[in-house]
Amino acid sequence: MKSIFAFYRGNTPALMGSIIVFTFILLSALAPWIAPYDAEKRVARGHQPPSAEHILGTTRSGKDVLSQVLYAGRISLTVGFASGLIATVIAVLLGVTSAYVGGRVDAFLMFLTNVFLVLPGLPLIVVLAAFLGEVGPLSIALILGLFGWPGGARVMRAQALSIREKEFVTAAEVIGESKWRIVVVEILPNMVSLIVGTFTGAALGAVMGQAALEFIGLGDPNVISWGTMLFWAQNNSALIVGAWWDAIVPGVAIAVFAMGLALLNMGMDQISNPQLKGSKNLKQWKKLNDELQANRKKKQESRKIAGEVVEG
Amino acid sequence: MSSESKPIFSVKKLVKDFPTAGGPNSIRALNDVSFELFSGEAMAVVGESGSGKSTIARVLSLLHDKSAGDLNFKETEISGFSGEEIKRYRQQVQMIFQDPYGSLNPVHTIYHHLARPLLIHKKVKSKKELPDKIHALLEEVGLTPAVETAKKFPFELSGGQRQRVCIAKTLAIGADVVLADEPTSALDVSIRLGVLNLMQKMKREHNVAFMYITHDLATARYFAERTAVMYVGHMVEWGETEDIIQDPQHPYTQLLISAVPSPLKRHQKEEKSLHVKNKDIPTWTASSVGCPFVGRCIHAMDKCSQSMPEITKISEKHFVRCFLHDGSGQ
Ligand SMILES: Nc1ncnc2c1ncn2[C@@H]1O[C@H](COP(=O)(O)OP(=O)(O)O)[C@@H](O)[C@H]1O
Ligand SMILES: [Mg+2]
Repeated sequence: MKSIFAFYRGNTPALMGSIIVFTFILLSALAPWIAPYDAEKRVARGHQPPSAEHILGTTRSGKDVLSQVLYAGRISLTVGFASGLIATVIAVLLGVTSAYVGGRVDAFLMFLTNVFLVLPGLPLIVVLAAFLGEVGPLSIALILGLFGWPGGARVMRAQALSIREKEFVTAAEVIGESKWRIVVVEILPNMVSLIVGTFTGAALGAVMGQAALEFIGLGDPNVISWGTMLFWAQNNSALIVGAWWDAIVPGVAIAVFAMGLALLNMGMDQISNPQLKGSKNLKQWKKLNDELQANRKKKQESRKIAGEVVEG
Repeated sequence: MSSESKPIFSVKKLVKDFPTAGGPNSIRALNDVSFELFSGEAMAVVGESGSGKSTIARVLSLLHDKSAGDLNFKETEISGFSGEEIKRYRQQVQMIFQDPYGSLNPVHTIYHHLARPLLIHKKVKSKKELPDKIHALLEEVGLTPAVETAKKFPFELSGGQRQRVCIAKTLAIGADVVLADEPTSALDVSIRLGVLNLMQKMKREHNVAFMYITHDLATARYFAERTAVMYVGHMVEWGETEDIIQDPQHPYTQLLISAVPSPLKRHQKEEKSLHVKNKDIPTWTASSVGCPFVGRCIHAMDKCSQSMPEITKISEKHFVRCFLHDGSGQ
């Protein structure tokens, strides 16, 4: 309990982000119980404005917008989290392996990462989705996950490299810990905030990506998600005929949820400390890090000087 | 006593080169380093930062490969060890690091830090024995109440307490040799003595051999029977600590001693000015020649920059490498 308070103290973005994201998770999970109508059935006349019966109005085909947006959340959130998970797992595996193994493996994995990094993401995904035809949520999660890791992998590698240099890793080697245990038990737990940050970042990208793909009509239009809601609203010229609620509601849902994820991501960035247990330690970690940097500089300099001495 | 018994470590003509980034010439961090270490005895390795002290400890800990020379542990060459041999070696040779804030993993409890060595080296028959064993270790290093301490995270402990945890780790493994790399340098002066006394106790009660790396001659005098003085990767003077301090032969040792505060020196100001007179410490490379101290030495002669002087025996256990004492020197 205490550690939770300590975690959120002075970290407003993380707190706000958590509240938003958890509210969305809760609402989506409870959709079958709190949605006033069946989201897939015609329950009223088309394009009814918000009223007591239909708080957020109805769609062109007479479905309840509130019920739809709640059910759609289940799909959109699932795709976001699943794809975030895929991207994060790949990023951790590649980044940490690259850093810890080094040498040729490192060079190859970083080459691969850089290739993926410079690939124009969304256009490529659009082409791929178009090629696959109407893609369902599962395929979207996979595609977005498989393209969403390179940025994360680079950051993971950088952090794993810096943790690898810490004395506690050397100490673990000296007491005889095995390599994989050093990675999994000694290094990875120190990367928790970065991993969570990468996950929220990737999930954010996936939610937006899914909405974009579905909005332009590459998704499966029979699935109820925020993206397809936007697609149908656009298809039925909701804004032109004055049924603003039909388009605004899913749009706002995407925007607010994305903001929640972005805030959470920011909050994680603020915690440069891998241990989430106290601010005292945070300072210590920063100090350590500074010293390490200074040390490395010194070493580089001495090497440079050595080079000059030899040449001179 | 030491000359009669067999040494635990016998290091001969050890050389360690580090490749430089983008250049064929490498930094020579250790050059022609030879010494022996005996059980129950502490040897201090003294020198300014950058003199290669940590490199010795890291080579002996198998963290770096040597470039040349012999590294015999209990009469077996250690480089080339693999798998089980490494594990058996680690069970006997342990290391304590300079920075107690960096050498414990911030995400793990003290319990974890002591449980791991016990489990890796099978010092307990089952996990059930762990708590008792860990609490006993914590009590032995003076971290009481042990049950409370075991639950803590490193950031909840002071530097001195953390260093005691590191010492407890070496005790857990039951190492015969502890390579202590400036174990007290990062600690407040007031708590250094406690940590040194704890190591003293290990030396006496468990017959542990220590390599005590420091840049502080005063603690070397307190803790170590023998001392080796290092300068830029070279051992310039070595022998019994008292001889080194009372009767320093190498100009660098004399300089170091003049830098030790009070009781050992009288004219602080004058000597300080001597200390900063010529502070160009060279970076040694594989092709460097001569005595590394020549740039700072007030007795420097021509030949000093041409070759490294051979070893001169001052007395039974006191050696120096300096042309001032070389038979042909003057
Ligand atoms: N891993 C390394 N790579 C390259 N150079 C190193 C490395 N470790 C130490 N050195 C160099 O070796 C020399 C001795 O360093 P070190 O053993 O740390 O000295 P000390 O512990 O006495 O301060 C320094 O010049 C340092 O730059
Ligand atoms: Mg050092």
